[in-house]
Amino acid sequence: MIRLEGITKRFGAVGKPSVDDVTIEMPEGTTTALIGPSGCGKTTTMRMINRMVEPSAGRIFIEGQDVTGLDPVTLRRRIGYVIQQIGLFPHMTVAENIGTVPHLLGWSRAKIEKRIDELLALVGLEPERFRSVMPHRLSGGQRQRVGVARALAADPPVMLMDEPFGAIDPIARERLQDEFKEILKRVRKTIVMVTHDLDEAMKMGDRVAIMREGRLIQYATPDEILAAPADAFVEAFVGPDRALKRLSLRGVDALMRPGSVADAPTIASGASVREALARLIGSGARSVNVRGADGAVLGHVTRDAILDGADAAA
Amino acid sequence: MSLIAGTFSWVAAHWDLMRTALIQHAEMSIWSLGLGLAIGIPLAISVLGSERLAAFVINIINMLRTIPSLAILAAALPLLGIGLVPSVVALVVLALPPILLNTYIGLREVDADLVDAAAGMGMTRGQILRKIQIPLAAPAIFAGMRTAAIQVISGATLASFIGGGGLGDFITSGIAVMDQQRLLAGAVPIAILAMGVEILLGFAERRLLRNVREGGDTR
Repeated sequence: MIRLEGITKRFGAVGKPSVDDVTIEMPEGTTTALIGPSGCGKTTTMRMINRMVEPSAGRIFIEGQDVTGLDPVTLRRRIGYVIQQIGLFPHMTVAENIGTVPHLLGWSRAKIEKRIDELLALVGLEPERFRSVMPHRLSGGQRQRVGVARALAADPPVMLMDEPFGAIDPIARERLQDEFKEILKRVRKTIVMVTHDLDEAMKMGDRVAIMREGRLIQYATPDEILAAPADAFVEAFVGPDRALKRLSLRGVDALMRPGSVADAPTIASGASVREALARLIGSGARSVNVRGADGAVLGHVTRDAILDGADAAA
Repeated sequence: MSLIAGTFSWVAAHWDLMRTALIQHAEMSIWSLGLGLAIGIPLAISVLGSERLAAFVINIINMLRTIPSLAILAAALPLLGIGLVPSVVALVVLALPPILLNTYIGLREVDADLVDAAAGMGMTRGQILRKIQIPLAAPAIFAGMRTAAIQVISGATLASFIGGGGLGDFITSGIAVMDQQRLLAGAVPIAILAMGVEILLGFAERRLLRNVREGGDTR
């Protein structure tokens, strides 16, 4: 759990603070996406958590402990850190990069080696193939995986990520987001992720914190934000298609009725309602069949069910 | 042809002198380069934090660089007398600029994101310097050392003027008595020494810094 209490940051003596009296409590094991227009203070807020930026006022608690008085170096070794440009050390192998923090913490060589292999496997890179590779030989997505493995190395309870997918091309990005979501679910960390991409925030965040001019405007689940924006700014920020965006947050399975419909298009179980709607519009059908992983039809979703569901939620 | 043969026979006849001069020359060069590194690298690290201080120090060093080597040696004579010490002092002044400048620029140009990542992972200032900045600046530091080594070896020739000894002695005395064989016995080994060190350091650089060079940009 991370709790910020009245966190303020002023750069320089005069002018408006970059971060202005932000109070927020991020529950254990959840991912919080910090989002807002550039200059809103989201990155500064994140960087105060590991004291890369010293707060001017306020207190920060990690797992109940006030860390504002802690030695920053000790604190940072307990917090995973992934920066925008990944920041893999180019003169070290993948294994050396991942082993950085365990090495700083003085783990034994055998324990570090074991941990490196574990992490490579976790992020989907074969240990035998990638251990001794230099970073410049990796693709953007592979670097990002190594970056996350490195941040997870010492099993920190908290992880900070600054635009983790910023350097990835749009096509690979979406797949990587899906994979990371799985990985992050498995490791159960409290994660703070800074992003400027609303879709990314809605997809990756269990909760989304929207900031503007240093202030926290709304902190809620993606669905709550899309359903009830706190003010006109949030409403404009999430866009006029927020009802559609909400559909992409929901799985079709919740709207499913038993039985299969003849001649209807099919969609995989776990797909979003938005995908189902797109399929319906594209094919002109009135229903879509939902198919399980084994190929068997689990049930169907009708156009009316989708529209009524959207209605009820709006 | 007879000049070259003559030079060889002169060298053979004066082998003891030759060896002493060569050792003196090498000793002077190694001391000067060593001191240049011992002063230049820490100095570059210590001014890294402040741009104003760095500009100040670099300007001073650049001014020193404009002084001809012979003038530095001549100035060392009344202050420090004759012999090895004043020669080394003068040569250190010669070795410092390339070492300091290359080290400073090399360290400063290490990607700020990497330093940020290292700090964010909990490395101390010293660990960032040792594990990240210096290894990544190593090619630049090495290049500075190569330049300094060549300048020192060539510059050490002039030490002969203030009694520092070395292979320069054969050149000065060769000119004085118009003995071309003696002159070449000094000049050729100096040229070979300078070129040999350049090649050797170049080879060492490629071997030692393979990882850093290959690494390059990871973006």
